[in-house]
Amino acid sequence: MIPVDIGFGFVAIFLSTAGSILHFWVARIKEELESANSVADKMAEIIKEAQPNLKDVNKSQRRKTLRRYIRTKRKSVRSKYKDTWLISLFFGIVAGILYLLVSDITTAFSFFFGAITTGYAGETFVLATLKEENQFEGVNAEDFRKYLAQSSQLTAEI
Amino acid sequence: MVIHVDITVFGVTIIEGVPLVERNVSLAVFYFGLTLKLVIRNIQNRKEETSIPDIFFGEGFSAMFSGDFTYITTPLKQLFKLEGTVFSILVVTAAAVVFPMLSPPIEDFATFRSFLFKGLTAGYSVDLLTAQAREILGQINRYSKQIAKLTELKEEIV
Repeated sequence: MIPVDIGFGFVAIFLSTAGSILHFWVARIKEELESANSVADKMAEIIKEAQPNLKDVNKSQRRKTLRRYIRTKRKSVRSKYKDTWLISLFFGIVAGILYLLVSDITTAFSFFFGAITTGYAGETFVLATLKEENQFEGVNAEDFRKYLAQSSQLTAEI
Repeated sequence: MVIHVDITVFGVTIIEGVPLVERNVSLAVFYFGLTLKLVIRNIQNRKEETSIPDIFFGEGFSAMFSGDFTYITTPLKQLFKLEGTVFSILVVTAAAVVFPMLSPPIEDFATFRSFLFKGLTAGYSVDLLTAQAREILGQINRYSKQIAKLTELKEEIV
């Protein structure tokens, strides 16, 4: 008889998915900050968008408003990057299954911590590889075409 | 061969002695490996307008709901040319049937885990290997034809 503990198995897969989702948010926040140029700009944008009369209300009201705003913002980011979000989820589950297959199921803290880091690292690795390929394709297609058009225009001018 | 598995949840045995046929387990993990490969390929080849079901189930899947059945007919046509998804499924099925005959017998959880892991990686790579082998053979065929033509021309000139 081979004992298979599906309880700890599911916990490991869940934690690996959590690691993967964590990477999704880190990458998105980084992207959002890059597009806003700086943290201060981003914060200013958030406060401006959140509520115009936020200064006038009391502390708990302000906290509630900000919390509601962050929740809707998170939802909108998730729907904006829906395909990336689902891909993260998928690779999180895959990383969890692979982690289960290569490590011993124990109740030690290191086992659960390993699951989170596997999900995070697996997601980083896969998305970085895919991004590199897309960039490479991008260079070949549009950027290169633009470069060619520009160079032929320059040649004609000369 | 049949493996007997005890399903436990957090150390508590829920079901005892579930019989699993080795070949079926091997088929399941091989198909999972193939699915993983196909999804990664779809993600790599995706365009801006590719819908989420198309990323996970292949191009043309969502068009099937609007009456376009090329998702089913194209792989069947490709099968006669020994290419496409259906051909990949056939190759992977054959590999999955052979796999339990070659792998060491499953005695404990460690060997069961390694059986699953090797099955998963083999399922992922079998299709890849077949495609690469076909490409190399095709190239050899093309080159040998070219060499034959060049030899003919050389003889004519001489």
